[in-house]
Amino acid sequence: MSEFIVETRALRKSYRTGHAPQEVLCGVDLRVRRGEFVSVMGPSGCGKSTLLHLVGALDRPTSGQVLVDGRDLGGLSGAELTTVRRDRVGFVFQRFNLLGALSAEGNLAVACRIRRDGRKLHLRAAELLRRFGLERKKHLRPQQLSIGEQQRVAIARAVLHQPAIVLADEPTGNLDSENADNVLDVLCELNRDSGQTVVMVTHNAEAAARGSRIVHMKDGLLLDGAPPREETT
Amino acid sequence: MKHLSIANLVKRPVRTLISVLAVAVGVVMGLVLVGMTEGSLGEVARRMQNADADLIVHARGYDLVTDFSAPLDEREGPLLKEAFGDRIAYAVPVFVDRMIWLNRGHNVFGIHPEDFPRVARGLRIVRGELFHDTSGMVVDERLAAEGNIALGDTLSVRGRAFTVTGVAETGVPVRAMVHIEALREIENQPGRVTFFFVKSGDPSGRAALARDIPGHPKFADREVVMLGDYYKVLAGSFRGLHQFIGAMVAVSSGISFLVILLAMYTTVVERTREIGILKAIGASKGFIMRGVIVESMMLCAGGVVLGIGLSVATGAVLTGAFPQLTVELTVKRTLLVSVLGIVAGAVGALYPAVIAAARDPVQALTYE
Repeated sequence: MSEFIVETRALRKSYRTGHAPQEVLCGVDLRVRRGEFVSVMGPSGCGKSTLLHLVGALDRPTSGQVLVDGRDLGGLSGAELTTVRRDRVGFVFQRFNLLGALSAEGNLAVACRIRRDGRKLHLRAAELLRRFGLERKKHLRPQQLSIGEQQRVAIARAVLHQPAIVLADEPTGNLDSENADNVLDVLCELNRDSGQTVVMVTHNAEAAARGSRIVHMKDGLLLDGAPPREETT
Repeated sequence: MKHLSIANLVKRPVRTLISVLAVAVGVVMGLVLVGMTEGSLGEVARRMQNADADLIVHARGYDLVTDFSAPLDEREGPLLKEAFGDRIAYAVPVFVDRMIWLNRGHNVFGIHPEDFPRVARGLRIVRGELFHDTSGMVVDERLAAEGNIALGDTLSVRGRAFTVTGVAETGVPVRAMVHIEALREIENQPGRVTFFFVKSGDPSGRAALARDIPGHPKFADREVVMLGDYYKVLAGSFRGLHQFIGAMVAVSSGISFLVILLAMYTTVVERTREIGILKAIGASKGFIMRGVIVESMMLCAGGVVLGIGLSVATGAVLTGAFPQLTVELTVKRTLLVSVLGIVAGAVGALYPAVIAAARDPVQALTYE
């Protein structure tokens, strides 16, 4: 088993816009240990979300390597990348990205149906809704929930299958401070109590400070992507 | 609400209703148009098959459906019996003519009164009595009900008046019967008949008899139709109608298919972000495609159910307004239309499903 649950090596991503390619990631080296809560900070447009998309198997790098739990995502087919997203990764988005036609319970039910061990996951889904204080609101649709409650549903969906890593893209970006604190409490609790590895992208310094390590990003490069030799608390 | 396909149908009620209606219209067109054609032709064929006979012997080239002449000599009946002996139980002469009643044409049989039991096997005169001379007429219950015809009323055939003496049970081969001599007088064709109803002496030998009659030198100019095949004779005469009905059904089915295709395509475009979310949380291409196809099949199933209900209602309205019309909705045809409707839904959703599954998740997530 690899020491690092996430590792990127000289990771590059560029997009072709007009005549010239636009380079978003310029050779990123990031290493995340199991059980770490890493906050990636940087200004808008520095490539934070793109980094998360590549680590989460949502996109393919232009060059370089992405290894998740020792597995190089670069050589995987589309179906294999889907398997990685399904089994190894959990996403939490800034805009929650819940399915509006379904209730809170229904959103988790879809996540169960995508995976094979339905009964076990349904029980876990019920337990997560209880744990996040959403038991009595499980029949409500996202638009009937507060923004904090919506994000907690999204977190429940992300950790339902106990992924190797949770990737949170500005999870508090649309929340007021009270709800932001609540959501960060949930992520910290998952990290602390369940050993869940979390990589959170944020431009908010207070939110970033809740992680066990902060890395800084600028102009497509990480300024400090490797973890220190000692654990940082 | 836990099931995504059902939730999406409920969330967009107008789109769902329009799609269901489009499928329902296709189902109604298929069931009612075909049901009317097959029903009406089938009803006519079944009535003819109620004659206590196995064969119709007529002149070569004579069209049983559209011709109203009398090319045969009545003496041919005994000649048939003489030629084939016990293979023929009897040959009943029938003169066919046409009357106009309530702006529609109806066939009229001219028969000898004593031949009524052979022409209308087991069916009774339920009101009044059979005609005994050339002034009387018997009509069936359906014509009597539609035209509010009572005993003693007068109906006209080619300008000659007949008094209704009796009403026969529905199911007799034609709506009206008169004395054979009356029609011969009207058409100035003494001793002539249109065809013979022939009863085989041996039921198992009727097919052989049907082959042997035109093979006999005295009857080389005759054609024989087995009464069991009368529907085919009718269908052959109305081939153009069948083709027209077939074309109408094909067009309406095509329109229903296109509506489903368009509905699912716009659904997939509208739900681009939802597809991105599903992909981000690990849904496979197959999962996404299945979702689109299942949703489409649900729409079509709803359309089929509604279509069947509307077909039954439409059939009832049509037969109420036009009592002579028969709209036949068979279980077999209904099942066939149902299966076709749902399969069409699956096929119609294939292209949108493929598009949905092929969406780039990152682009889909940022779609507004």
